[in-house]
Amino acid sequence: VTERAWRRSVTTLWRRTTTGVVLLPAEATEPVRLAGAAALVWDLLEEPTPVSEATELLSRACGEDPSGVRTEIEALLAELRRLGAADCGGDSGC
Amino acid sequence: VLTPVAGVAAHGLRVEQVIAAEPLDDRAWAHFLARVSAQRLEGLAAQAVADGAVAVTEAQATELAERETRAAGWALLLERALVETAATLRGAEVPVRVLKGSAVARLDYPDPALRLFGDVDVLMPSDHVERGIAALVEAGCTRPVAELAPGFDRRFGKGATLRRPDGVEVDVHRILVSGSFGLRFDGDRLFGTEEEFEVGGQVLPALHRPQRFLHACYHAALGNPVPRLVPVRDVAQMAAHSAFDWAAALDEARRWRGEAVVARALQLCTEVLGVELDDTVVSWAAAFEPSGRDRRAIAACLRQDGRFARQAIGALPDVPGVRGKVAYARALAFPRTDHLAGRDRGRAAHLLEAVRRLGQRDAT
Repeated sequence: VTERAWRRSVTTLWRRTTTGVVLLPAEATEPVRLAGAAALVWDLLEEPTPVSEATELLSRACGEDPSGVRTEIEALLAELRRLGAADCGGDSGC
Repeated sequence: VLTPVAGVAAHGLRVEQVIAAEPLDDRAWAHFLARVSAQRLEGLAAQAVADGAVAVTEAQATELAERETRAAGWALLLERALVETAATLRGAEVPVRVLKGSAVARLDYPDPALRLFGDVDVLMPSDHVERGIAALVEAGCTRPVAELAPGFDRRFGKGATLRRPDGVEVDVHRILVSGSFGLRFDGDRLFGTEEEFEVGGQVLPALHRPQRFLHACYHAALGNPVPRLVPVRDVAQMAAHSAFDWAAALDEARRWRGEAVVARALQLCTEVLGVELDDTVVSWAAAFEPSGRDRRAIAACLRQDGRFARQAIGALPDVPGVRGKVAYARALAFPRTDHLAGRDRGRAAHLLEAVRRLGQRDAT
């Protein structure tokens, strides 16, 4: 089974700041801030990116245990999906 | 010697990078931060700190980062308003060009986060202005100050300010500047070309690069008696861009009969920001001699008191045709009562002030 790739929603407005990223998803009433590793994940989502690839890149860059990093990335992606800021191209769950 | 705030406004464009080698004391920092916010420079200030050009304490860095984040969030809300405004106008078949703000941030700056803005600005052709305003009002906007006289917007006005239900101001422009310089140029000609940019997946049209530069010059040179820093930065930013074509910009300035405005804007880049532009550009600006009429038109725009009245009176020679001049003068002298109500003034007060200003005119 091919792992689904996540990417940003094109309708989400965003700005980079010196400390992270600020997002305004299409349906959001107020902007959301991503800092630290979450901002790095947002950078990766410029191109379609599977969770496994994001996990490998971030765990290597941060020197952290991949399983812990994966858990955090999955939680972040779920939140971004709930906000309408990112998706994985499927209706049946990512 | 630049103030720290002017140094921030010029950050990245000057050879001298250091703006503050030591952190400011609490009082100076509070003043600096207030000025940075008032001038909408949070993005450039944060970048200057990140680049080591402004030394800060840890607490100051945190405080500035908070402001930068809030300002970025506000810019996003404004861009959403822009996308919705453009969609409304597209639905009403009103052609638009996005001015300033998001268009300049995305087309002329290396990172849009460096260029913040406070409202939404769109240009419409004269014969679409009434329809455009009506479409935006139907979509929920209000117009706090009514049209000066029936047909004034379409014929003579710079445009109108509308307010969306979320509080965002939408400035509808027919021409790019009030007064004499605005009436010298047919704004409809700006619709022959465009440069596109993307916001939230929507492609929006902006002015073509030389026109954008001219508009930035008008905004910097005539927009405020004391020049605001972001418009001056825009001029310097565009002039320093690798795609900047001075010959094309100068051609455009001549078409607009606005060389005096461009010369003043370029001089401000040096005087206010300390930015050294290309020698050809600097030499031209230094050598340019404005006519007496240009000098008076610029002075009318820059007076602290009675700016509107003086601009309006000063623009009379540039209104085309005798009938046009009469209609223009009549509209100024006898505005609609709902226009006066929007400006919180009665007709008597308007006339008294007009008389007082005319009386002052001889003394200046």
